[in-house]
Amino acid sequence: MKKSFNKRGNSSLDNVSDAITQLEKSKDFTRLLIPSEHHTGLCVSYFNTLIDIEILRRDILPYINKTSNTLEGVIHDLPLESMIFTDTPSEVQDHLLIGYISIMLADLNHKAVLIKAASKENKEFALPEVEYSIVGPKEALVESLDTNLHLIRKRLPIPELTIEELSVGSLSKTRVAILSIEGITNKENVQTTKQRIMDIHFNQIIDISYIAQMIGDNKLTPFPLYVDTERPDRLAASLAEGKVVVVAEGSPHGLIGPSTLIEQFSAFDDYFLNWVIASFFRFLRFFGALLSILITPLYVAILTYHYELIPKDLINTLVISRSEVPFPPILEALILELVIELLREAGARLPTKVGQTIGIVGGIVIGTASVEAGLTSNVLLIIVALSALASFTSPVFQLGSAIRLIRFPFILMASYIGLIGVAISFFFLLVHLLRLKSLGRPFIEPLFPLRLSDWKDALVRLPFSFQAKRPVEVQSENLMRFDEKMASDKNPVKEE
Amino acid sequence: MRIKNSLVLIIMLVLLSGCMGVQTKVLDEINMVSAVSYDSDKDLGKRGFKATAVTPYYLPDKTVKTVSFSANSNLSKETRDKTNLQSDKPIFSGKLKVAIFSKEMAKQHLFPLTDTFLRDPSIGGSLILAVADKNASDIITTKPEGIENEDVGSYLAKEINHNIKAGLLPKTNLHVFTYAYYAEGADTFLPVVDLKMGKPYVKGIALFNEDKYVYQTKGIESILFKMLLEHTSKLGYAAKLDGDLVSIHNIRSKRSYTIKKPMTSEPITIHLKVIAFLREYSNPHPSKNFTKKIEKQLEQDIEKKGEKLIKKLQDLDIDSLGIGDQVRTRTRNWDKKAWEKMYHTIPIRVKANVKIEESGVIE
Amino acid sequence: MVNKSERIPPYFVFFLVVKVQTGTGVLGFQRLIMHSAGNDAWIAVIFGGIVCLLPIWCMFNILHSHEKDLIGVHKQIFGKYIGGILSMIWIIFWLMLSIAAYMTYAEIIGTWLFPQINILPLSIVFAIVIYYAVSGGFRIIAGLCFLGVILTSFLILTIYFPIGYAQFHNLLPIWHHSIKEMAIGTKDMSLSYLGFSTMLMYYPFIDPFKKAKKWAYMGNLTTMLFYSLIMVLTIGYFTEAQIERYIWPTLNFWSSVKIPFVERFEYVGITMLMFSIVPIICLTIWAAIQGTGRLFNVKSKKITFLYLIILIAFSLSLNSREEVNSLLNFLGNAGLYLYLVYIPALYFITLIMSKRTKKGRDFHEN
Repeated sequence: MKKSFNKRGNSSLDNVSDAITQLEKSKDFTRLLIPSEHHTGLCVSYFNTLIDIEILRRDILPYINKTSNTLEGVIHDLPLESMIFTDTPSEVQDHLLIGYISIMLADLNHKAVLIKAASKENKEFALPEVEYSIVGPKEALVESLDTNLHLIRKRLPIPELTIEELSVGSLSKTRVAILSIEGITNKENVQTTKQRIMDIHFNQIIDISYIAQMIGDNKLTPFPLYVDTERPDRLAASLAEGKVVVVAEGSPHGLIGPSTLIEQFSAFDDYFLNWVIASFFRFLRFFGALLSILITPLYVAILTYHYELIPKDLINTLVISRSEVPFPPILEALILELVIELLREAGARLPTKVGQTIGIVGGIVIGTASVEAGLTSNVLLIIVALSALASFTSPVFQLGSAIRLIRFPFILMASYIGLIGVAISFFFLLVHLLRLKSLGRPFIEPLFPLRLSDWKDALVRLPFSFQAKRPVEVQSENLMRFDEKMASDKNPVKEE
Repeated sequence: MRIKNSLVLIIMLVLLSGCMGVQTKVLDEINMVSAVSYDSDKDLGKRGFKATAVTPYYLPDKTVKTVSFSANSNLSKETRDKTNLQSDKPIFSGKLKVAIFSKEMAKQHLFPLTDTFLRDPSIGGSLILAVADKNASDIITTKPEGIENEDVGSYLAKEINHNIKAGLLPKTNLHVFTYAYYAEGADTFLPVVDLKMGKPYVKGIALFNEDKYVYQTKGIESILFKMLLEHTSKLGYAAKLDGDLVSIHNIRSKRSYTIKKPMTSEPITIHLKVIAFLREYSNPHPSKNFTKKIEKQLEQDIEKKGEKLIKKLQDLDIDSLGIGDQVRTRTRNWDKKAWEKMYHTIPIRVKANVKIEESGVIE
Repeated sequence: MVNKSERIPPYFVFFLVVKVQTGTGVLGFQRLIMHSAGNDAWIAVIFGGIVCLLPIWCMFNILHSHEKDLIGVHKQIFGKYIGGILSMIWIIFWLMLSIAAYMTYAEIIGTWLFPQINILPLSIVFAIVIYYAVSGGFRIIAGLCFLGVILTSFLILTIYFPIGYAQFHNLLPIWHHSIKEMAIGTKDMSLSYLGFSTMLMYYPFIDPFKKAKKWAYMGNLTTMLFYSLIMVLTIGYFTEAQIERYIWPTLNFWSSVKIPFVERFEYVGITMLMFSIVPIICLTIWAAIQGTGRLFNVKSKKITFLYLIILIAFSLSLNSREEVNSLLNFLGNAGLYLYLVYIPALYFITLIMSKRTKKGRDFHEN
């Protein structure tokens, strides 16, 4: 159990055809039997998500159909230059997983010809727009399920990566693929996901977000219970961590579950940067979320009820800034919050360039004008702008929206019973978070239940050498990612 | 079902929101009293007084105007109702920093007047109490010259707190006053403030018998009082030794008691350990070991003046230094009455140990 | 048996014990104890903590030998009816503990923050939050207690500020009160340590329970350390005559806190206390609900509603400080008997019964 998941027990594979049978569990694996005149036939197998189907159609199929009854004959017939002739099962598996086609005789199963046919469409993929990162790969999922599976499989060329396909939606018949790694992913998680997707009764599944909403553990929560990402690298990393990934036809996003609140705060860049810097950024995002939720309610509460709390050097500024405002703090705050939300919504509906202009014009013009007109105080303007800014730091879009939404009940409670109202709302939020579950696993996991070993990748991200264990959250079947001893055992080059 | 329930809850909340019955205190719609003063008013009987409250008005050009309200009464809270009649906005005391009493008021019992401060949860224990040398209301209604962006209350509080940190005042606030009042072997003290050239300044320390004013320290007495009362860190001390003026500063002093036989008339010794920097010495041709000499002479000076101060306190029958408290914690047969009887007869010695650490850049 | 996903690891007992002991008591326990034990009150605090180890030990032994919660133990020993009545006493006790905790907090809000507050809407708002927490089951409450300890633990740093005003020579002379005075002080201290009896109800939720023992002891000792720290500071900060006048001396400590961005830390502290006190209300009311549910086999939703209405009704009817104080005194005395008389007695009965059944079994086997 403690052993790391490295090279599979290849010795158990007796011959090449066993190796191929093992791969057949995945839905994207194809095995063609081509009858031949002189022989029992040829067996062609490949991953249709990994190869360029044109090569197969144009360069292989027309030629192997003819006369040869030995593999040597096949090689002779094919007009291709790089072919591998092998009888090692593991070699066959490894090559298939990186985009080779294997051809063997249907009745002679210890030898195979491997032909390179990897698809070359890499550069046609979209750039990540929602989760753009300055360093690291710039590849995003697209609307085609097969391409997306190709992108993931490219990063995890192992036979254990299993893909199960379902068809959901009575009208749309959307193809949905559930990805997991056998021996790492907890079967219970896979089963739960599969069951929940199968239980969906809806006519049209347009996007993966439909599925995210329909398979959620709690339908009343504003929080996203699954990570929604457009990055294939993030999907692959989550699979390796032991999580379940769901992708659907027609959707350029994938879902990751089970997920935790803290995971929603981690941008994938965190893994591309030095751990010290990454930890600082992550911490900043947490702080931003708290600030965004609490700062406006605190302003309302303190200015309406608790003048005693304000330091005497600040009173001057606050009183002067509010002296011409005719509204009570609550109205003032609600108006400004609404203005900011309107600006955001308008920006989201307009094309990118116009949207930016609207943002700047709206922010500056409306802001300064309303202060000068005495409708709002400039201190509040700073506070509201700051809290809006902070809410945009969350790397998962849905989380940012949730944070902006829950601010409003906080503000109302603050104007209702001051600081006690803010505390009650926060308490309510805590209970809500405690009650949330993602795929049946606790949502605020490393905090409660307290799992100290999972703190290595929570509020801070410790160096990779500390990340030998998979998170307890996913209840992985194989706890260790790599052998800790091997990883730390570096042989430094002696400088003489 | 759940959605219906939560809807019911939300409607209930909305309905209830009208009747929580909490008073809003929107920052710019209230008057926050920053200082109050009490002057006695004999027309209203023995305990009658005139209470004055000042509240800052913040003007758009960042300057602060001080507005004062006053009322005569013999109950503190009653004056608040009367001042409310003069104000344009409700008056709140949550920002009260300073309360000043005239000497006339302090000569009667002072503690009943502080009861309202203790009872009011919006007033904290760090409220500064002080005694005015002359008229108390003058001090808080006179805006310090040249200070535009601060109101009188904060200015006074800052000034007194600064003098506690690096000046002649011992730690003092409402809590310390209450503590000393309730302590069995100690009497209370408060700072004395006065006006000089339109600005408030700290004049000395008012010593009380329980809560009745009896004596005001003068000059060097205040510094000695502070050294004998608590550990200090930034005092200055000047003395005339053999015709030469000596001044030391940055005094770090520690005091400790030796009480051989508590509750008897055995002498009590107060040890003072003083470490200081030499700042000024008027002798232009000092001898070689002049620091040693100065140390010796300073020790004698401190001991002489300290003992004189203590004798004075004993004669006034006040125990502002809390010597009784020290005795109480060193004995198992403490008797408050017996101690009060024997207090002014016990010989109390001061033993100083001065060390000059640095004498500046010249020798 | 309790569903596996509802169970929690044994170290949570530490947080549950610490939380339930340090909620409301810590705000104003000093006055009563210093009234009898004076400057030796800190010794009474330590005595109280040590005395409380006995009922904890008894509880663990009772629960171990029966492997049931208190309702089951009562039923097994005393039968359906007598056992049911005894269980009712405990249920009422827990319900009262939660009411007392709520009343204390509501009174603090009413005194410090909102003098004219209308108690009914406030109680309804609290009841909604408590309902939401309690209906989530024991896991949620354990989580709240844990987070409550974590979130409010930073408040202990604020004792740095009053230390500057404390006269620690007040602690001297040590032990100059009579044994009787100290005994009264120890007894008065007991109220602050109460509440860990909820363990009798959450026993089946701890997995494995056998390991929880050391965590419960550690929790109790941590509470004791915490209380004695506060007590030592109180003795230095106030004089004995002065403390008689303060209802919540711990809140008065905060008036000496000086930090640049906030004046009057009391208000922040009182707000933060919500995360300390509401989990206690939830835990004790949960114990009462769970007990009633096990006793009468009724749905917990209805009982929760009933108990929250009782809570609101009490908050409306007890409106003077004397009435709240008399409730607290009554609970203190009742707790003393329940913990120091009833629990040990139950332990002895268990001991005798287990010996007898053993003998009986031996007899039959022979």
